[in-house]
Amino acid sequence: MFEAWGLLFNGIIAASDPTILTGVFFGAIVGLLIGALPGLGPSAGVAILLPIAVTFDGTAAIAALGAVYYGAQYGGAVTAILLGIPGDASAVMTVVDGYPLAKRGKAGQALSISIVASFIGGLIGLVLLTIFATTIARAALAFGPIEMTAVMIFALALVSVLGSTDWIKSFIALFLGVWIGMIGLDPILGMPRYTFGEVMLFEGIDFSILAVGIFGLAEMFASPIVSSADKSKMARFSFRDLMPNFRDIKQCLNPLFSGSVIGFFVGILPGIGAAASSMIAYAFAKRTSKNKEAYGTGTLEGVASPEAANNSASYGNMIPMFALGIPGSGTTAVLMGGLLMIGLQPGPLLFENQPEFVWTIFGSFYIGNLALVAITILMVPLLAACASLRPGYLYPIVIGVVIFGVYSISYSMFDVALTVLFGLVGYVLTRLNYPVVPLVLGVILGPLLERGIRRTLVSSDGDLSVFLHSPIAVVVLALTLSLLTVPRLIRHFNLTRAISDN
Amino acid sequence: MIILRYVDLAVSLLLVAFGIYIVTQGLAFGYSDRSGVGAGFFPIWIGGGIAALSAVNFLKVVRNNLHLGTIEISEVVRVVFTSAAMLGFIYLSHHVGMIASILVLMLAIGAIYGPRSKVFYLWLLPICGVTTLFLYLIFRVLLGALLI
Repeated sequence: MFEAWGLLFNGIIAASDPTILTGVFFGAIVGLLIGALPGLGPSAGVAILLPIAVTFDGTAAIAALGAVYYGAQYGGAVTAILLGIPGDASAVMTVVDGYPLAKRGKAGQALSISIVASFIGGLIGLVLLTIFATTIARAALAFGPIEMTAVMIFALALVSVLGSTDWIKSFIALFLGVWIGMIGLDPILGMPRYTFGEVMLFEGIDFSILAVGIFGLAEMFASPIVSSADKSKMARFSFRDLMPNFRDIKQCLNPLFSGSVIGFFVGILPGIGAAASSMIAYAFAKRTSKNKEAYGTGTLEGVASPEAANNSASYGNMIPMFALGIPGSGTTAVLMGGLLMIGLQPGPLLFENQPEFVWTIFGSFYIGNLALVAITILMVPLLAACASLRPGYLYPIVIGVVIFGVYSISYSMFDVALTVLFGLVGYVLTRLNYPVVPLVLGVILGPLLERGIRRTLVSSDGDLSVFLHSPIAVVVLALTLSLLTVPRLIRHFNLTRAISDN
Repeated sequence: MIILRYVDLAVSLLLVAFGIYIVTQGLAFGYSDRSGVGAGFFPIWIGGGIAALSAVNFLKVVRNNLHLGTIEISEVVRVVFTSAAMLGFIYLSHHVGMIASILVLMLAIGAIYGPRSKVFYLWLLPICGVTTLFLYLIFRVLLGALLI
């Protein structure tokens, strides 16, 4: 364990390299803006920036993309408090107490505690990430192809079941993603599959094209055109109020710590995400508070708890991706796509083969989390102004960046056309309540899963029972089976009992 | 207004057909070969899954009379116009280059999503102009991208 902290220290020093620091600051500022802009979430932000970021040096690219993700958690709170408009889904609970506080003339105090909570939540999340990522990665080294295949099946099932209320549509989306991942030359036999005679598809579809289309364009298409926020309703504050106040921090210690810990552990679970973690943390803080009645009317604890949770969750969310190579959310799937694009395969071996890269990235997270405190304080007026930016001004800029970014991947207009197609597909799926996260995970994990299953079956002469020879795989597959069947059996049993009772 | 229930039914039927297409292609790739499993092994299972689950979804929507709400025709028109404008950009960039085309595209997108007011257009033009300049500086000058 001490070894990990030593490596982290070296990582923080390595992350102080000017190139990486530029990436971190650039990503943090973009993330803050994305977080503050209603209609664009962190997954869209990371996806839009992906084609540009991969042109940086590899480590700086991932440091920048990571900074967009955790920066967005800081930005969402600003518009939530000042205008009552959550910048992204994870800031919804911040509105509940943050906006009433702002209306009572305590906007600066609410913003200050949200920044402190984001920092403490981020710091606790990072410490837990440092501890758990290495431990889980070390344990996962014992996993062979059979066990990893079983874990991948479990993660995909978990995301599909937990990520949506309609499991049928989740699995359809997942299978569509796996099919998209099959496009190109067969990984074992080398024959073209589903390329429709198009040579440009032989190498498969570049992940960033799909991510930009499905997350970036589709999210924009499906966002309602709202008139810009009324600036006159914006609460006033002074810069002096934004400075951390120790009396407020002392008052919020319990929700700060409970929110950070809850956020982290809920964030680890695939398919849950930062929004749900902030809701759970808020409910817990309210239930355990001596001042329950104040929640919802404008209390600092009600701001501290969800803000600590959503920041901590963003780091918890990275554990399955870094330690197992299995992303648990849309944003980490795009991050993993970035890692694959720069030639790195996330998973336990990443810690063994590329320790410098891993610890430099973790070091950049620590620097970014600290830097965001100052950047957020300085950028509060700009972030508040973002909420009043009309889609008519914002969308042309986003589309300009998207088109140039996608074109620059391989200087191909065919890629731009594919992005438009995926944007339309994503829009239709979103409108019909098909969750897009399983689709994106299917594209990332589908090829790995197919290769794992086929190689295992080739080595066992097509004998499927080989998956039952590993106790770990048996337990994981049994968990998957129970995850898919038990809730439905319970519901069926309850329904039958209710009918017979009547 | 477009009733999403009918769109859901139509998409489910399309997906059933698409799943069957994936399976038939998978059969052509071969379910198994001498090594054990062929290139069509995975497509057959995945295509079968898409077809079967889409059929279940179709029946669920029909039987339960599910209401998914509606969407405004204006929203669909906006999405179609935006996509058409982006495809138009691809065509135009081969004739006048990417820089001029992106400026035209951004103005078109602004017009699609913005209000019909003189003040809006007065602001839109410089915003698109400055963004075009930034795109040129970042992608051509800084990143060295080979623009058309």
